[in-house]
Amino acid sequence: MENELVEISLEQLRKGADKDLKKIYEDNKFKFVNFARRYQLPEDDIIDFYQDAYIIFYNNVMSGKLEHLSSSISTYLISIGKHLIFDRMRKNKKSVSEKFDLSRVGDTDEQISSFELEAPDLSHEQRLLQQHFKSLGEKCQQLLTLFYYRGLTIQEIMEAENYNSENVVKAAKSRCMKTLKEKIKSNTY
Amino acid sequence: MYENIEGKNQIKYLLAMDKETLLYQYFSNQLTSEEQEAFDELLKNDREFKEQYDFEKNLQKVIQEEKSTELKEKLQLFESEIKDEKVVQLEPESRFSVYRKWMVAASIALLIGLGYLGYNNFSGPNYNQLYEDNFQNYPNTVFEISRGESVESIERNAFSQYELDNYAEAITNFEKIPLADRNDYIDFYMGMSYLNLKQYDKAQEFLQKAAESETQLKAEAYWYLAMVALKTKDKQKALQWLEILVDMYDYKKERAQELIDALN
Repeated sequence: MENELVEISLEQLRKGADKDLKKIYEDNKFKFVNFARRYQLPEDDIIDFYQDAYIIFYNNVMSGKLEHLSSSISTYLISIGKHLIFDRMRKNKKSVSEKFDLSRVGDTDEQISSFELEAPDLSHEQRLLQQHFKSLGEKCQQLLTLFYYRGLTIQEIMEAENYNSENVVKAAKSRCMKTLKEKIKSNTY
Repeated sequence: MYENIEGKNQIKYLLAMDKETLLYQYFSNQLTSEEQEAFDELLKNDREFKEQYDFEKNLQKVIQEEKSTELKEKLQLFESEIKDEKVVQLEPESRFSVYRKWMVAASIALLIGLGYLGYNNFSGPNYNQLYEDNFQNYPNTVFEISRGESVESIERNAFSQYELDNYAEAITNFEKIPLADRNDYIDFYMGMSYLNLKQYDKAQEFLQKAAESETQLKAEAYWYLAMVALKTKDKQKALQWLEILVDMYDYKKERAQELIDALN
């Protein structure tokens, strides 16, 4: 029964309505903050970690890497958050004291082992590509997003966006890619 | 032995398979394990294939970053809304009565406005039309909203609110920046926020400050001062600002000249 409820909210998250995004945000915040307090971080940093964990969770749901929840959303968020916090500590070369035993992270967090955990840090080349991408028409951006971000198949895109046939989707996609490449060549946006 | 040859033939066959299809299968998470082998083979040995792969992979990253930034802004908004909700709950009654007062004031203003509109339509240049034709909001061009900076978080908040058209929140955040730390473009964006909120006195005050400062957005400030003057139907001021713009800057020069002509 509870599982069913959880399943529904994952489906809602995929649809991405703001009120659902917000509800999930609010519902899980308290637990996360409570968990993160043990690392004695400033409150603003905790919120920042929470938001970044939420984004990573969301991206993995959207890209289809996470299809079904095997535990509650808050468990995922906390696992990701822990990863982010430890990662920061390692980078800051802060000694991780025995209180935060890193060797134990692995076994508790199996459910996120297939996750893409890195927040993408764009190279200069990618920043330029981003500018060009943003200068594409609304439809192209949407189409490419469904394809590269959501990992949908041509058929799924056809159904989701009411295209007439798969060939129409394919043609539209290759037009968008062509425009994008031309923009890069001429370097105008 | 036999199986091995079979396997190799299989890979050869797959290599001949449309490279585009292989890439497509990859990005829609549909590669079978044989296809994956062929795919890896191509990545190693086919430069053109590798280039195309890199391009699409970059695009994927870019879109993911784009989505992440969007979501981050939303979450920050939720966060500030949660805080606001807490504040509001403390005094629901007084808010209601304030709201009622505004309703009364607004309906009176509307009545006066409607009467005035009837009168105004038959006299002089149509300021509202000129404003509508010429006003376009000024985007945030100064502050890059990227993730993970905590030092400049107030300013970042202000600009993300500005970009979301939440001008009142933007102003609240701009005001939180200590005077000594305010970048010279802040006055301009304060002015723009007030303009979008239709608080023209305040808009003029801040835009004028910006116009008199050393900001790179001086010309823009004069243009939007002219927009404020149009909105408040102050022909003299509108002309004054537009003439400065035409004389001293290139920004919107032609539009400004057209407006001067229309007003005269």
